[in-house]
Amino acid sequence: MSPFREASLTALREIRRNLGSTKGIAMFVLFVLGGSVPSLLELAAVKLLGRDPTQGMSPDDQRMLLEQGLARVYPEETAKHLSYCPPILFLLFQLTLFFAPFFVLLIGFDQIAGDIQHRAIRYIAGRSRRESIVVGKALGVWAVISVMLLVLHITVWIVVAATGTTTAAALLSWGPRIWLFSVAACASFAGLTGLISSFFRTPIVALLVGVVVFVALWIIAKIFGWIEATKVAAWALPFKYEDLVVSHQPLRVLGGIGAYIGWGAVMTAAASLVVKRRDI
Amino acid sequence: METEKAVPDATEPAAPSAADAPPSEGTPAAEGSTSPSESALPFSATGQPAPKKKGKAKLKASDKPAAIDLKGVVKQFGNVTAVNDVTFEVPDGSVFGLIGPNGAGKTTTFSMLAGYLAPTSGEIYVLDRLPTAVDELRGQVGVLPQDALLPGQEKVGPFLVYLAELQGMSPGEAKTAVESVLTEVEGLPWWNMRCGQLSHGMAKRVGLAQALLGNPRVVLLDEPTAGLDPRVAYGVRQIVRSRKGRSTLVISSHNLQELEEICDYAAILDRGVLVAHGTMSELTASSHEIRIELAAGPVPLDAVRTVQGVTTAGWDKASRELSVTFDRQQADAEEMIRRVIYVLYQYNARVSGIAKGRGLEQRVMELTE
Repeated sequence: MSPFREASLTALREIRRNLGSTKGIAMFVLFVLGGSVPSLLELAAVKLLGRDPTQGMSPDDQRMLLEQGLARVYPEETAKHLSYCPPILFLLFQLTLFFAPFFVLLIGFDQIAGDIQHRAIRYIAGRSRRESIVVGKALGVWAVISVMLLVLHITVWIVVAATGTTTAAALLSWGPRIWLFSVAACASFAGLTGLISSFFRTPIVALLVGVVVFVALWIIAKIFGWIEATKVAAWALPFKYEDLVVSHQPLRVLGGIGAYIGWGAVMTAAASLVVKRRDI
Repeated sequence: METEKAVPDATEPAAPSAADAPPSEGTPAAEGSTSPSESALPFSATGQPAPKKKGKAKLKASDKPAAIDLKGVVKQFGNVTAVNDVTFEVPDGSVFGLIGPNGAGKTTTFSMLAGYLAPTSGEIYVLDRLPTAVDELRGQVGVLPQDALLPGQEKVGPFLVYLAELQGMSPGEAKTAVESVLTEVEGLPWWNMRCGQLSHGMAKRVGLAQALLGNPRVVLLDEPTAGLDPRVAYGVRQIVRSRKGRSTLVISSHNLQELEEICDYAAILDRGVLVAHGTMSELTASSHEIRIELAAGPVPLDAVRTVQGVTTAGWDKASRELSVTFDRQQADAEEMIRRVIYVLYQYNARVSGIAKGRGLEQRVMELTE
């Protein structure tokens, strides 16, 4: 049997297991609720200001205002490109990038550590290469988070369509793209989660260490990005790849998606090596 | 055991000589292909247990090819040596017991056979492959790990189907195979139950079912009846017995009576060292020792010593047990029982019980600390 077949069988099992478990259902509900956060934020802003800040502005003026704001963070061309994205979807993307590592961690922290703790992995290890088990689990977690993100994003799309704050064309053009970028970003975090989980026998330890590692990497990435001399080093971490996927250049976008997935693949390969060498 | 020489009672009749012994039906061939002197067992020439000698035991030659082969296997956890220089073979098609007290290294050895643990040094081959060669061994080795929990959130049927598919079966074949093994362990009604809802006995049987999936050539069972009530344990033993001859079975267990009943061969481990191994009859000395319990009355020890074929005879006053070792080239155990009983009958000794060998439990107690 090929390793791909082994990995796909394990991935399908992980999907079934996650979506059918209490934890999976709780996460699913959390994601649906999370989908309404950007909409609630928009409504809250309107309420706090007492009026819609864009009230009375033409769509072009609104876009120009957004572009000016984005230009503070992104290069001019990228800011212009992103100004066409419905703000609520862009906000959703930012929130996803910020929270995704923790969502992935919550779903996958016990994927390997949990099986090693209770030795359930022994039922599988005699039938499948350990590398395939790790890859299958990572793919399974990635697939589950992708489905949950889709639910979250669709919730936002529905809210946006219902409130009429953006055009259907913009929604159809940017909605799936933003979801795809979010999914790609999650590949990195699914890989890293798998690697962290592979080191430990106790899932809660994997979870706590995972939180520390994710926060530490996020801080390191920010520091690298601020200091001119270390800006190049920031590309070693997935947080930087956002610059690529939001680009107006399709090749850079593809490069960014590839970088996210590639980084996740490297982490998964490292996790495979750890599990292959360790006693189970 | 306190062993002392018994002095014949003054009232005892004169001991019949060897020539007086009942006519023999001939001298049957010795059991097995190895003479006692070649045995891997640590016995002295007198038939009494030799002083404990910890170290690598020599493997008894077997006519059968080895399904499992361990050569100088060592496993260390940090500074602790859990298994030290263990060498033995498991003959193909046999039922092999892995025996020893807690901390003897049984489960560690078992885990290395299953590929869960990597040996620190030495070599292990299962069906001439490394235990970690999953692809080459796919579907040929089934394992019941001792303390591995079934995934609590998953349903029994789908989980076993997943395992069967990993063994290379198509979804249809997998479902059929799972139904078959669940039927064998009387667990088919549990198909849609979550593994976490199973009782200990049910979970053990599901574990056994997954080990038997696809009729593997080698089945490794770690404590298959531990913690089970007698009825379920009996059922599990029956399942294992039914596999005899179809697979090579390696069973690690504390239940020595169970192993003595089921196993053809066994290895006894103590503190990580192999202290004895061989056929079950060799381990229990059932092929060259008989034990006769006598009720109050005469103990014609000297007369027994003169019986043709007897090499030693001892008397344990406390247990009132007469132990007789014999040259199995001259007679098998049944023939020797006949001869000795004849002599005892002549001396009016009153026999309470007869046993071949010492019993595995006693042997293990002698060999381990």
